[in-house]
Amino acid sequence: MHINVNIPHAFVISSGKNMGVFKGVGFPEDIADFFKLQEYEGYLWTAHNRFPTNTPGWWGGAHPFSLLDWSIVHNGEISSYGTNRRYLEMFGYTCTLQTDTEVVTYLIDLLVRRHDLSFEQAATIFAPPFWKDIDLMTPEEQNRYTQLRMIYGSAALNGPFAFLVGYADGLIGLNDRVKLRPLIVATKGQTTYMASEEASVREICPELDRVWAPRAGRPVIARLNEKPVAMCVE
Amino acid sequence: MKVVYPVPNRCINCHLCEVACITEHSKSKNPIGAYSIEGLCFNWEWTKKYADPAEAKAAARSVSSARCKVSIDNANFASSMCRHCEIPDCMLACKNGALYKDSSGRTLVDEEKCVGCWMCVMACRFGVITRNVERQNVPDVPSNGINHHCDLCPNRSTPACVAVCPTQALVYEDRLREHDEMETPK
Amino acid sequence: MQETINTTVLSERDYFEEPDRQGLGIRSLKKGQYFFSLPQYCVERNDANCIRCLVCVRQCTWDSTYYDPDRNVVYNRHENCVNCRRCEAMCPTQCIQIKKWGSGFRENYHWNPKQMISVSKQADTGGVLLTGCGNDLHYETYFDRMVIDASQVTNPSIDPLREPMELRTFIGRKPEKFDPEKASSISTQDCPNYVCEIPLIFAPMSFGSISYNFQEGLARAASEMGTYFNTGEGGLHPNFHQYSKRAIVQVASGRFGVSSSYLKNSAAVEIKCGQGAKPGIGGHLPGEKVTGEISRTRMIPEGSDAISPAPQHDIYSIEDLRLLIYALKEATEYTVPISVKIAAVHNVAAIASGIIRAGADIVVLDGFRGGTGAAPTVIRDHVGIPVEVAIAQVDQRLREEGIRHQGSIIAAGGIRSSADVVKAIALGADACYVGTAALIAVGCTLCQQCHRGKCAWGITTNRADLLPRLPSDVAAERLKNLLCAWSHEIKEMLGLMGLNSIESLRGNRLKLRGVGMNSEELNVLGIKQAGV
Repeated sequence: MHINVNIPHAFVISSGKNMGVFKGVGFPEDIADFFKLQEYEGYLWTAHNRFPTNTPGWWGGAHPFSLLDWSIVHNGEISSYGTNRRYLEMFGYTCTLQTDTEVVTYLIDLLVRRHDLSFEQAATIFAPPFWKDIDLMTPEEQNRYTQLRMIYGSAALNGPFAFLVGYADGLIGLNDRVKLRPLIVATKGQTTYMASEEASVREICPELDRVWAPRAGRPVIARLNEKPVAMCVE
Repeated sequence: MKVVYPVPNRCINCHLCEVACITEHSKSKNPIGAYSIEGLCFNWEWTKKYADPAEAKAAARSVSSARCKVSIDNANFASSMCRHCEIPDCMLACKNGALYKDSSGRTLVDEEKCVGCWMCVMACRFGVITRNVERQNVPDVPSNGINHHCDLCPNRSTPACVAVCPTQALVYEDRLREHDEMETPK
Repeated sequence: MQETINTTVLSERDYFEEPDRQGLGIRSLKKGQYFFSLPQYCVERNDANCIRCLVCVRQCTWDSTYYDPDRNVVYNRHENCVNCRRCEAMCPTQCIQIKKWGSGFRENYHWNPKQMISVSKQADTGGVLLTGCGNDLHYETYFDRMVIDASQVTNPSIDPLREPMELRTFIGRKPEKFDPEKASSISTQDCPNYVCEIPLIFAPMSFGSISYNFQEGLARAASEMGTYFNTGEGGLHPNFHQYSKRAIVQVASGRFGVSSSYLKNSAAVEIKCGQGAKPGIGGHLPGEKVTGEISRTRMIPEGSDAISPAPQHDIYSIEDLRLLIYALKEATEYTVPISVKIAAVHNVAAIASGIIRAGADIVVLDGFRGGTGAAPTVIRDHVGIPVEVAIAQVDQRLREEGIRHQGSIIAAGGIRSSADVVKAIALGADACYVGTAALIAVGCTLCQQCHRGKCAWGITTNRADLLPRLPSDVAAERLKNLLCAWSHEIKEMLGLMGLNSIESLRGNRLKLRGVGMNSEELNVLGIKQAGV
């Protein structure tokens, strides 16, 4: 954080254990060659090929964004960025990378690491169920969801998004709650694939056991111990 | 049947119901035409006969051509008009048979038959019958005038007074007739 | 209300004046009250269209219209006209037009008519001039210098007709963080919040300053729309106890109507430290307006001026405020949030921060455009700061101190439209108080005569003959319509910003841009220049 804010043109891109982040501007195959990806091995890969939405592409703004052990790729735009950013600033985070995905990384850090919430709860905060649905729940559930929304209203992500969070134990896919971006999950044997489009999954693995589009605002979590290998393409 | 009832604590004493009533029953159907040209409502020329202004004022009120009337009791106001009773006291009192019930239940006056004896005015428990000075069936008695009361605006779906009231102090609705007794002014 | 206590006995005859034999406009100039006979407005009547129905005569409460039966003419005492436009609105032939009177004074930018008339009135009476409504001078309205962002292409706008759109807002202190143990049982809520279905709450308007019917209308509209009304400092009329769960009850410096049941039966308790229209002074209900019902609700004698002390006499420091906050929390058994309402003044950010640290769950910022039922004109017009900058500064300060979640911010004072609401929330407010707009919704024409207790529209008076002019169900329906309309508009604006929930707008200053402000103003508001 100190380097990103105070040293001009220097940014820390990767700070995790047992995880690497490679970024660059160019065609995907050139980037892969540049970083000699064929020399790496891993059980969880996330890749992102981006048409930068609102800013000219620059290498620091390329996905994934990572902090400690989280790495995030994101398709979409977070309309609540202003609210989320000012909420994070209250907790000492500073946004420097000129892109909205950064806030997701910090929010996960805040909610999961600092506030001890589960990924399911964090996902509920990011894409909260509608009040009309909460009002139909059992009193205990109602109270739980109401509290989550009440306390973390400023951490809710609004606007179109589908993002994937990779971490040491698995992979999480989450859509916005009105499904303004596509998200496809597929499985083949022990491998889970998540992507915006089925075509990109089929490109890597033409024969799949199961392909489905998760419901809006419901997280899909692939855990390492349950499904040993997770693989995804954004 | 549906008749017009005042709603308690609603009237603001603006008298727009009277203006609407007169306008509806005028030829021009326009307040300026009804008042200024047809000379309905307060007959101001009429008041000139009185030297004493107080007397003139009293007379002016008494010849309003409106079929409803706003009455004042301290700070309480209410507009009242014919309730078209099931068995009307006025009809029973009428010696000429000028008052009758029509097929829809309204109590109406046969203008040809009324002689201006005003028994109906005395009999009415709601005090809502006035004189229509525009029409005198007995030529030699200039101050008489025939029975004049609410006819529920036959050409309208809702009476004009109800439609115009700015605070909905008048309602046009069907109530149980035994409620009439309860509505009697105290 | 069936009461008719303390009202003038009226008869039809009172509306007919004996003719003024000296002719009109010639009035005795008592003790040199020269300006008194200089009218500001002219009631122009097109005599050809006047049908002498005398609606105007009966509706005027300012003694400005009368009828001369001898000449059969309706005349006006133009100097009494306050331009409330009641006669214009009620005239069935539209023959009345109120105009500015004549040439006015000789043109003078510095000595404008308002200044001159004030000087003359003070020379007449030797008193402080009172007025109603909000500050009407030409200060900058920052709301009109901010514009709202919209989604184009890269992020889709959301259509509230076809997609869910959420306005539910929680007002009160939020817990530090989610605690799963407390989440399962409902009873252990240590942070009571009140829930608004829409981020609009009716502003404090006391029974007494406003009519019984209007307050009932506010209560009913609030109940039906899932929001709240505020009792102001006038206590809660016994008949309104059925709405008490929708009432934010005020504890003001006068402590009118405060009792243990008043505090317990409420949605929130509000400590009134200041009012935007009159920062630094207490509430004022002129004796003319203290009639039977009001005297009973407020627990004061009939006809006596109710002038609240300027400060709360038990609050002389922030520690005292903490004591009062916790006294009220004890009194309400920690079941409702405690709100503190302050006028927006120069050091508002530091004051608000202190209030939240003192234990308040809500801070209400009342800007200098806020209305009043009675305030000294000079204070209304010259004291306080705009609410826009107050919200921006308080929100920023609370975030810098990391305590923004400990209290909600409610913006009050001059919220005119749903756009103002959206801008206030984007600057950092949680919800807005709606006061003057609610008055206008039920007929108020801002003639600024609330303090006289003769409101011709029946809004700020409890005179029995004027009360029916605003029936409570008419008021409730109109207020409900207003809230409905605004919430639809807020939903539209949220949708076009690509948001489907109000909480994603709160403090989202990136959705605002400034137009025609200098860099210091932009900086204070924490927003960027349009185009950047």
